[in-house]
Amino acid sequence: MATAGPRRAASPAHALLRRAARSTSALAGGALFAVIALAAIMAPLISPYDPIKTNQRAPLDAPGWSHVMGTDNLGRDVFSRVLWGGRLSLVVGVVSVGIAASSGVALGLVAGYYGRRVDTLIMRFVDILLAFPSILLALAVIATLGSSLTNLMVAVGIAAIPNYVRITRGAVLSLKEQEFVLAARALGCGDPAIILRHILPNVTAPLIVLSTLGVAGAVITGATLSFLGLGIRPPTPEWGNMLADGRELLETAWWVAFFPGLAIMLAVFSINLLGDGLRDVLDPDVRL
Amino acid sequence: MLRYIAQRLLQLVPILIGISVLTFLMLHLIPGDPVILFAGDKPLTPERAAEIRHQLGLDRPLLAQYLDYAGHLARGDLGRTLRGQRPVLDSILEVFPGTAELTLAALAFAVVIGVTLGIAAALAHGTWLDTTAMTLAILGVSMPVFYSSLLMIMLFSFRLGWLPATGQGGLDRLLMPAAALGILSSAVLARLVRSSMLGVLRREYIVTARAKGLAEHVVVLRHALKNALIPTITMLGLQLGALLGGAVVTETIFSRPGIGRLAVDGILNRDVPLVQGTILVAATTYVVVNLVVDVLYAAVDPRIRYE
Repeated sequence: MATAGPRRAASPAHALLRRAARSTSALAGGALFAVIALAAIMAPLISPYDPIKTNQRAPLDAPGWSHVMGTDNLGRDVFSRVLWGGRLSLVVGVVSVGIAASSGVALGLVAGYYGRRVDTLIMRFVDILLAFPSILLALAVIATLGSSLTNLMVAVGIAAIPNYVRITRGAVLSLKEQEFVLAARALGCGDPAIILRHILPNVTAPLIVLSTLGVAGAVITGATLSFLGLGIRPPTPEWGNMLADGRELLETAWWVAFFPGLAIMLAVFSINLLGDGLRDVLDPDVRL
Repeated sequence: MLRYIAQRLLQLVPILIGISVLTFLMLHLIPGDPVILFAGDKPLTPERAAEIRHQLGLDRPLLAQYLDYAGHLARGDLGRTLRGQRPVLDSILEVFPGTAELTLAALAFAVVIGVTLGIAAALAHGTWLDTTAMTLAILGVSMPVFYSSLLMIMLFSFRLGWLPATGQGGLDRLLMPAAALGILSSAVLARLVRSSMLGVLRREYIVTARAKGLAEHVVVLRHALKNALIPTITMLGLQLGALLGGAVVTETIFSRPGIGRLAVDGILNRDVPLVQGTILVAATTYVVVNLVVDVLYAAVDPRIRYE
């Protein structure tokens, strides 16, 4: 008689996806974000016009059939610039979070695991970073290093580090005295192996939530700095600097500012929905 | 209570020192020679560069430079702007009231709208009102300050002609910037108040109050609300930081003088002493306000003092 063999355990990624799929919010947000991200990635293929080439014959055309989102003061198609702008705006969001997460998680792991002086030193450094409102900290970094795409990502990333340190350190403190860690130590595992192979995988859930919501914040901060003229500069299309261009034209050509702003809002809304949904199913105790 | 205040004040000292160290280091982390910034329009010969370096103390050890900087700070000397050689502190004090006015108005807007929305959503939990309120809240959190500002100008200034788009002075010039700045914070507060209220409404003392036969509005306003609002106090302090940051944008868009606009102009003009001074004052204000908020929180919730 055939008997059912033992079921293979689902991989952590598969288990994560299954849990996330239980949340309507995560599904809706994820779907909307996927559409926006895909449109941005495929901009070179689907963009109807060159985003940088000017057209003096069609400045400030209202939205219509030939230009669905109208044109700006240099005759450039706003829809094409919104598509191309999404590439930079979203990259700034993701890379900044990557910088914040890699630095913050490393510091949090060390602070939480080793404790004592190392912990005090790291947490005092975090307290000082937290003394600055995040956009002011990003401004200070830009003021020091100068404005460029790389410095923008570094500035936004540095401003976000404290949250990752705190969340990781908090999780490590609660995990490091658990039996599986004590068992690993008793078996002769070195500290790096315990931190990376036993503790870090158990911190994944709150970090996923934090990173997802962090991308939303980073997109806004990056666009804000570009809006102020301190990030990505024209003519390179980026949602923030496009809004700055449209600011002078609000009365006569509202579409130049309206559509890039709507794009930012929809992208951030979708990421927030996704992050909220992930938090509900993965780690409801995360307080950000 | 006094002991708690003294403890928090003591904890403030290393933070203030840390803030001053970071702002001091700004000048030294700039790529290239910082002397170039102070040279002005005159040609920078090696002799002139050495002279400027000596005048500014840049040829001394870093620690000596920092101690000098800290000494000046303690005397209220934040240096002089590169443009116009004006005392930085004077430039900041001139515009500080404008930022304070805008930030407090935005905070008031955020509290009124956010708390009302949060309570309504909690009391109507599970209904269309709750879903609508929370969807609006997520949309509010997703709207950058510069976008809400521009949309308001488009609607209320250009389309309807109700409010002026720029300038300072008078309630009509404060309303739009304060609302634009406060939207994001009101959304954050609405979500927090709803979550906090839902938690409190499940507590035993609320069950007791209802079992005693108290009217629902008495249960909510007298028993639930004050406990639900306690976590909101801490959030107000954190939101003040977001509002100070958002004021940078709002002041620029609505052409209002303020610390944020001063900082941005300083960065665009590479006026490092001005940027150092504005960031230092903004961070110090934020830290002191959070201290006040923490003390208020401890006064309202005695459990905190004994932790």
